[in-house]
Amino acid sequence: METEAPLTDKPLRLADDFAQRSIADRTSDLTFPAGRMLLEIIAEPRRMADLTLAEWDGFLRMAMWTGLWPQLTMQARRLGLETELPHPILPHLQATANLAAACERSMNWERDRLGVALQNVGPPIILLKGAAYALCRFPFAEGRLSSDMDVLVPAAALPQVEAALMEHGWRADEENPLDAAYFRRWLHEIPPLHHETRGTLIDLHHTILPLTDRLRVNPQLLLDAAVPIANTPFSVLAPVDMVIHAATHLFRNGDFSLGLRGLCDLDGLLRIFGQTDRFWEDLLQRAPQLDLTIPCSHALPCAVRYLGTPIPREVLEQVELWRPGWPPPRVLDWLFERALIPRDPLERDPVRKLAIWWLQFWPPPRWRAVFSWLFWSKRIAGLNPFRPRQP
Amino acid sequence: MTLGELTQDEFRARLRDGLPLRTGPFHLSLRSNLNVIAESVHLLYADFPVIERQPFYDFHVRVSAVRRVDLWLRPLSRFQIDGYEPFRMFPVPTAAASLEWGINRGISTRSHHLLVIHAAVLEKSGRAVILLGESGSGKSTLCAAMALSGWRLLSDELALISPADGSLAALARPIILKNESIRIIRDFAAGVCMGREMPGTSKGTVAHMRPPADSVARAHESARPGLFVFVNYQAGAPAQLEPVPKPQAHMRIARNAFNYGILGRVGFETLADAVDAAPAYVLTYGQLTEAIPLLGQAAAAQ
Repeated sequence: METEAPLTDKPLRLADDFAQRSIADRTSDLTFPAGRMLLEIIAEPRRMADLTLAEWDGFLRMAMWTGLWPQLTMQARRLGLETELPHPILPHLQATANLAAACERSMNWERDRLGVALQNVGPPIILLKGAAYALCRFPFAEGRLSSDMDVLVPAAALPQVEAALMEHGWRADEENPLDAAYFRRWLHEIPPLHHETRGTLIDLHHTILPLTDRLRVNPQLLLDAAVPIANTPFSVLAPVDMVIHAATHLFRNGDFSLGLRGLCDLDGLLRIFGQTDRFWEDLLQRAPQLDLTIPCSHALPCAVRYLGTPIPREVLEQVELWRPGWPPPRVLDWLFERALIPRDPLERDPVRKLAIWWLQFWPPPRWRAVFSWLFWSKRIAGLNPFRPRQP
Repeated sequence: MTLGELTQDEFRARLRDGLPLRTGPFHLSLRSNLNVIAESVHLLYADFPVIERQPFYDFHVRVSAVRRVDLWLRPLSRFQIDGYEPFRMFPVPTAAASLEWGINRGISTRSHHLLVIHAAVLEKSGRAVILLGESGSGKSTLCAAMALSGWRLLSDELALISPADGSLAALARPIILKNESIRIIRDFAAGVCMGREMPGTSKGTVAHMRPPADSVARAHESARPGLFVFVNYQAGAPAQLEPVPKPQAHMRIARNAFNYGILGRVGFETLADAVDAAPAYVLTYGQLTEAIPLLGQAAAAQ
C-alpha cells in the first residue's frame, strides 16, 4: 500500500469555509464543553500541553470514554509533550502507553499466527479495520486498541478457512445454537472465534454488511480490488473501499458507542488517501457500485463537520445528492451528533443512549429477515422477564 | 483533621458533592447519596485526613441508588468509576462491598504504569511481606491479623510495584473479610473496628475492617519487597515456612499479577528484581498466633 503517495501539486479545494473556520466556531453549537474540548484536542493534539490540571480532569475522562485516549497518548509522546504536561497526568500517559504497546504486540503475534494457520489456504486473506490500519502502519492508528481481529474471506472459502483455524486452536465462541444459527443465516460474519490458549478473538467476515440489511453489497468487488501487502500473506481493501467500509461500519452497521473513534479512523484515512491521484473520482464511482452511497452521504459531512476533514467541495455536493430524504437529514444529523459526542461520562445521558439505540436499529432490516423465525427466536429468548437479576 | 472527626451530617454533605480521598499514589473523588455508603465510609475511612478539593482526580467513584419502579421493594445500587460500571447492580445493603471491590478493580485495570499483583502487603521495619494466595487460602485473614499485630498495612489486595525503583506503594484501605474470617478476626482482637456484615454477595458474607490509624498516616511511605509468601491455610497444621526456588516463585507471582503480560519486558524485569531481592516461601499455618511471629522472624532475618 502506498501510504506515502506523492502529493498532488494542485492544492486541495476545501469543502467550504466550514472546514477552514476555527474549531471553536465549528463546535460552538455543541452544548457540552467537554465535547468541544475533546474535538479541539483531536484537531490539534499539541494543545494538550495548554490544558490546566482541572481541564485534564474532564478531558481525560472524555478521551477514555470515546476510546481515543490511547491514540492521543501516542500522539502526545510523538510530539514530545511529556515534559510539558502536568505531573499527575504522567502515570496515566505511561499506563496507557504500556497498554497500547501490549495490544500492538499481541496483534502482531496474532497476525503472525493467523498467517501461519492460513498459509495453505488459497484465497487472499483480507484484514479489515484496526488490523488493516496496523498492517499499513497508518500514523493516525498508532495506539488504537482493538479487542479482536477482523478478517474478510470469500464466502466460498469459509469452510476451508474455518477448518484451518480450528486446526490451529481457534474455537467457536457462540454456545447458544440459536445465536450461532442467526450468525450463519443473517450476519456478515460467522460466530466469533477465540483462541483456546491465547484467548484472542477473530471475527471472520464474508461480506461487510449483515444480510439483514436492505443494501446489497457484492463482496466480490471488494475481494477483486484488494491490495496485497508485500512480504505478508495478507491483503487490505483498496483505498476507496477501505474508506467506504469505515463509513459503512459506523453509519450503517453502527455501534456508535465508540463512534467518534470510528469517525477519526475515517478522517485519518481520508487525510492519507485524499492526497492521491484520482482518489475522489474513484470514491464517487465506487460508492454506487457497492450500493453504499447512503452511508457515505452521512459519513463524509460528519467528518467535515466534527473533524474538519479536507474533502473537496464537489465531492460533498455529490454526496449531498445521495442523502435519503427520510428520516429528515436534520433529524439524523442531530442523532449523529448526540451519539458521536458524549457529555461528561460521569453524568447520565439518556438522550445519547437513545440516539445510539435508534441508530443501531435504523434502518429497519429487510422484510425477509423480519419474517424469518430465526430473527425473532433469538430476540424473544433474550427478553425473558424472569431471568434472575444478579447483583 | 480526619474524616472521623466530621459530624455525620457534614460527612454526608461532603459525600454528596464528591469527597476527595487520597489512597497512596491515587486521588479519588467519592460521591454517593446512599446512607449505607455514608455510614460505612465514615466508619472505615475515619482516620483518613480531610483533604481539600483537587483539580484532578485519578478516579471518580460514584455509588448511587437506582430509581426504578420495579426496584421499590428491593432497591439496587450502581457502582461507577469514571462512568464505567464494572459490575451488575448490587442490592443497596451490600453497596459498600461493591465500593471496595470496585476501587480495586479500577486500580488493577488502569494502573499499567505499575506492576499490579493480587496480593496483600504489610511492612515492619522497612521490610514488606507480600502475601499471595487464592481465595480461601487464608491470605486476607492473615493480612488482617498482621495489621492488628503491629504490622503496617499497605494493601490487602493489591501489591503495586514501581518499575522505576522497585518500591511498593501503600493504599491503606479497608481490609475485605469474607465468611469465616470475619469471626476469626473478631476473636483475634477484641474491639476490632469492622463495618456492617453484608450477607448474600457473590462471595458470601463480607465485612470490612478499618485500617490501623498508623498505616493510614504513613500511606505516602513506600516499602521495599522483603519476603514473598504463598499462603496456605490448613486447619490444625503447625506454622512452617518452606523456601521456594526463585524461578518458580517468579512464575507463580507472575500468574497472580494483573498486568504482567501487558508490561512485557518491563514487567519481567521489575518482578525479577523483586524476586532477586526478596526470598519466597510457602507458609502453611493453622494458627494465626503461630504464623505471625514466624513471618516476623523471617522478615527480620532478611
